[in-house]
Formats: sequence, structure tokens, C-alpha cells
Amino acid sequence: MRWISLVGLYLYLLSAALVGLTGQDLLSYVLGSIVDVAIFAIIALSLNLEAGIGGIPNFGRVLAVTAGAFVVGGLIPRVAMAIYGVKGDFVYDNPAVVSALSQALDLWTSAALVSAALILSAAVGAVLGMAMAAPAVRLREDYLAITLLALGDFLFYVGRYYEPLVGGTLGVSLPPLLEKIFGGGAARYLGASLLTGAAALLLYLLIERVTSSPYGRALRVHREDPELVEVMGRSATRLRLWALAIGGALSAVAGALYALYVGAVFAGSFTRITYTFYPWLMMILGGMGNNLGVVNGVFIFVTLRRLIDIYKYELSAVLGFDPVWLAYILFGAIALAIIALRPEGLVPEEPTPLAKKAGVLKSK
Amino acid sequence: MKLDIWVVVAVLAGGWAAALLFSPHVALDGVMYSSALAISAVALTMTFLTTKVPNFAHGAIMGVGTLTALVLTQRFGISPYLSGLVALPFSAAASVALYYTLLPIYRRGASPIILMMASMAYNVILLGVLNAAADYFGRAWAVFTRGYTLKSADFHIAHIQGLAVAGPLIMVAVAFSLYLFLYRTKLGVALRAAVENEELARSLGIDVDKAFLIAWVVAGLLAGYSGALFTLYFSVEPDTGWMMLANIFAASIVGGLTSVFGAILGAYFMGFVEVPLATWVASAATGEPYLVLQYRPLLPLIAVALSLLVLPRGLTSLGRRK
Repeated sequence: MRWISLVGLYLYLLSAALVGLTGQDLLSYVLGSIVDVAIFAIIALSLNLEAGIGGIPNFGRVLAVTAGAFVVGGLIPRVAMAIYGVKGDFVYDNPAVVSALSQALDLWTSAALVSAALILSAAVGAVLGMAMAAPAVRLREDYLAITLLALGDFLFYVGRYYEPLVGGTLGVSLPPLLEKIFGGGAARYLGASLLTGAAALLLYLLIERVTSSPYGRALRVHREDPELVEVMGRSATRLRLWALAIGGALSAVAGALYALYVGAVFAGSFTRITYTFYPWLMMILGGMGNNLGVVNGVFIFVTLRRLIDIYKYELSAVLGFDPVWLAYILFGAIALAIIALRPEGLVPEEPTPLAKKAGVLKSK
Repeated sequence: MKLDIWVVVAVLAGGWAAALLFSPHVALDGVMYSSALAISAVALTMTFLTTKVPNFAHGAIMGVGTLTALVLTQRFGISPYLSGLVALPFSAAASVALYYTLLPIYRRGASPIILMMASMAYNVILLGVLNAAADYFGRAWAVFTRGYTLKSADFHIAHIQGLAVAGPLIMVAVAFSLYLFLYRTKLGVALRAAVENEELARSLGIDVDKAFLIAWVVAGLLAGYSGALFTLYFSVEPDTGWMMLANIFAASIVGGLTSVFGAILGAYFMGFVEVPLATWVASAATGEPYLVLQYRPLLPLIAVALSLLVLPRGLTSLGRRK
């Protein structure tokens, strides 16, 4: 393994050393970044399966992420209310219901609810992915990209305006599921990073397995030339359907984990820049088509974002504007430089006999 | 399909006339929206025709105009129509910078996905710059740069907001100048030839890169000005153009994405659907139309999907024999 294969991790460790040496809170930096890396890794890997390996330009990635979060924010608390017979409206009496639930919930019910949330969100994400496969049958890739970009915002607007779902523009607080499982205070954050980190690792192994299976190889062929798949006797339509279903399911799980970690759902935060554009840029930064590369891209992005966040007071004194915009500029510039100068990404996909080129350059 | 394009135009014009008759206030609202949308959709279509890439940074380039108009109008008390003009060099520069970023990637034969990603990365940078500038000017000059509208700075003719009159006039002027440019100047004809068949145009000695550059300059100018006009329509932020990306794509796609005049038709179609028609349907169907009308942002999303699936080459393809 060459050193560049873990470049993101090295950069992250350097940043952690910097944070520790400048006397910042190292533990919260590390725990927070584990969650960020885990969530974005799942999303970027699922995107890599569809776009990097399968060649399906899913510019509506945010849709499944939002769906997962809405399952956690809109459905699971109501199930809990039904279990314990808590009266009231979850959205309009949100604080009262949450406090009633926090008294009623026990460890096992919470664990069951969290598991149910992850499974249900995966199911909803898979269905949405399949729905997104419908336009993929007929449209050329640029038109498909526009369509999926447009459809991606659907739940964002529904969640924002349909208050009974997840509280509209005000959002909802969730019952303390993770607290009941891991305990309050620091233990909750430790548990949340363990949970999301473990989920990300598990899903990474799963995706690695899928991409190296015959199905994964067929997907790579699909990326190079969809008709070739048909020649091999596989249906390109079904191939795409499954890729989008798996990708949607994984991204929805990421959305659900994120909502559980935050402990609240606020529809307005599921923007296409955070959950579509950023995962795309992380993917190209790390190396389209290469799962390990994509994870490197995620590490670099999260490092940049967390560093800017942790030094935001120092930075804003110098900059004269909110340092969050500096993160936009830097990350966009890094991604653009990679696209222009090294389109195969930092950790390029290993060529296989079936796909000679890295899928980034069109063969002339 | 035998349906002639002029039938569509006539039906649409009839729809607008009916809307003006029944509810002038809503119709004028729709006219303002459609006019600004049309200018933006024309710009988006021009970039798509030349580099064949859906330009995801289009909304951010509009943001240049939006922010400039917001800042200058509040700071110096000039008309938004004028401060929009001041924005033009900046938005054109932003557009040209993107063109020169995309050009080498386009030349090496990269797939449309890579070009889209490049425009996406550029969009992220530009949004960062715009919001940083919004923070900076908001503080330094004590002006509102977010959630603010310049409606009150517009002129009025007999209780009708200026944009409802000026918007269509500007749009007609834009369409007429574009027509003169594309059909009556050598450069415009060269541009059309380059769009039609790049290699052939090159072999005829047409400087394709220069022709495309001109198209991107024009697109930058129009995007910037439409961004400025939107400050007169509703509360805006530097991100407004970016948030409206689906609306603009919807207008361009309904127009077929192949003709700048189709984009204008698409914009007035989408404007009609989103404002008068949606209002009418909402009022007819429920007692509380404003609750339903909140969901208006979903209409362009549905329109994009429906239009591409049902009529992939847009309204202008109607009546054209295959």
C-alpha cells in the first residue's frame, strides 16, 4: 500500500496533533470528527457505488439522506408514543411529548427503536432509489443529472412546509434514544461516535464486497458502456435499479444516524450543497471508483471543516466574515484543482482487465 | 405530434390574458417573475448550447447581480435597475472565469459528469465568495445583505410596480438584441454554426473558442442582470439564484434547452404555471390557498421530470417534423 492511499488519515492525525498542541479540546474534536467522517463516508461511498462505479450521475443524493432523517424525526417518535400511550401531538406539543417519552423510555425499547429506525430508513431509501431509477431508463446522462438534481430537493421542501411531518421551519426535538442506550453527557457522544463509526466500517466492508463481486464488475462495465452490459446478458435497467436502491438505502441510514446523533431534525439543514455537492466533491477528490480513495476524500473534507470550526473565533477576527464561507472557498478550490490537474483523484482506481481506464476520461 | 408551436404560444397568451382579466394583481406578480426568469433561462441555455454542460454555477453567477444590487442600492440610493448594470462586469467576469476553467477539461474530452462536477466546485467557491462579501459589506456599509427586498426602491406607474412593466420590456429588448446578434452579425452566425457542429465550424476557419467565449460573456451579463431584477420581486439572499436553480432549469428544459427563444417561452410557461395557475388552483381547491401555495417550489421539480420524460425536446419541438 502506497503512502498516498491513506493521505486523508495522515492529514487528519496532523490536524488532531495541531488541535491538541494549541490547547483546544482534543476529545470533542476527535469524537465530533468520527461522527462527521462516518456519516459523510457512508453517503460518499453510496454515491461512489452509483456514480463512481456505475456511472449513474446521481445529483439528487440529498433525497435519501433527508428521507432517513425524516424517518427518525417523523415516524420513530410517534411509534414510541404509541408504545407508551403518550398523549398529545408530537410536533405541536414537542417539548412535553419529548419529556414524557424521556421518562418512559428504557434501554431495550430505545435500542429496538434505534434498530427499527435504521432498518426502516434503509427500506425507505431503497424505495426512493428505485424511484430515481425510472428516469434513468430514458434520459442521457446530462439530462438525467438535471432531473435527479431537481427531484433531490423534493423532501427538503415538503419537510420545510408540511409542519406535521418534522415541524416545518422550526424542526422537532427527538426523544433521548441514544442517552437511554449509552447514558448522558460525554458517554452519549462516545456512544454516538462508536455507533456511527461502527456502522460506517460495516457498510464500507459491505460496499467493498459488493464492488468486487460479479455485480460490481458488471456495474463498472455499465459505466464504460451500458450496451456492453446487455451484450453480457445482464439487464442494464436492473443493474441501475439495484445500484440506486443500495445507494439510497445506505444514504438513508446515514441520514438516520445523523438525526439520532444530533437529537433533532430540522428540514432546512438538508440542503443539496451539504448532501449532494459535498459528497460529489469528496468522491472526486479521493478518487472516483475507488472506495478507499473516497474515504480519503471524506477525511480531507472533514479535517478542513472541523479545523475551520474549531478556530472560528481566531479566523473570523482576521477574515472579517464568517469562516464557514472560507470552508466553501477552500474546499471548492481543492476539488476544482483536482478535477483540472488530477482527474483520477488522489487515490486512483486500480485498473482491472474489465475497465482499462479509470472511467474519468472518455476514450477517444 | 402535429400540434403547432404557435398554438402553444396562443394558448399561453390566452392564459395570461385570462389571468390579467380575473386577477390582475396575481397576474402582474407572475409577469414580474416570468420576465426575470426568462432572462436567466436564456443565459443558462446559452451556456448549455456551447459547452454542453448543465451549468450548476449559473445560480451563483446570478448571485453576483443580486448581491451587487442589494448593496449598491441601499448604500448609494440608486435605482436597482442601475445597480444591476454596475454588477454586469462582475457577473460577466465570473462567467468567463468559469468558461476558462471548463475549457481545458472540455478540450481533453472529459465526460459531461466531470464538467458538471467542475461547475459544481466552481459554484461552491463562488457561493463562499458571495457570502463572505455579503458579510463584509453588510458590516462595513451597514446594509442588509440577506432576507431583504428592494421592492420599495422600485418605481410605480399608477399603483403598478415598475418591474411588471420594465421586466417584459427588458426581456423584449434582450430577445431583440439576441436576435440581431445571432442572425444579423457575422460573429452570431459563427456562434450558431459552432453550436450546430463544432468540428465543421472549425474547418471553416471559425474561431470556436472565441465564439463560445462571447456566448459565456453574454450569459454572464444576463445572469447577473436577472439576479439583480429578482431583488425587486421578493426577499433575496446571495444564495437566491442558487436556490432557484431548479426553477431556471425547468424554464430552460420546458423550452427545449436548444434555443434561447424556447427558453423565453419556457419561462413564461413556468411563470404562468407557478404563479397565476397555481394560485387559481389553490384557491379553487381549498379555503386556505396560502397554505397550499407554500409548496410552489415543488412545481419546477415536477416540471423538470415531467417535461424530460414526456416532451424531452421541449415545447419548441412541437410541430417540428422528425
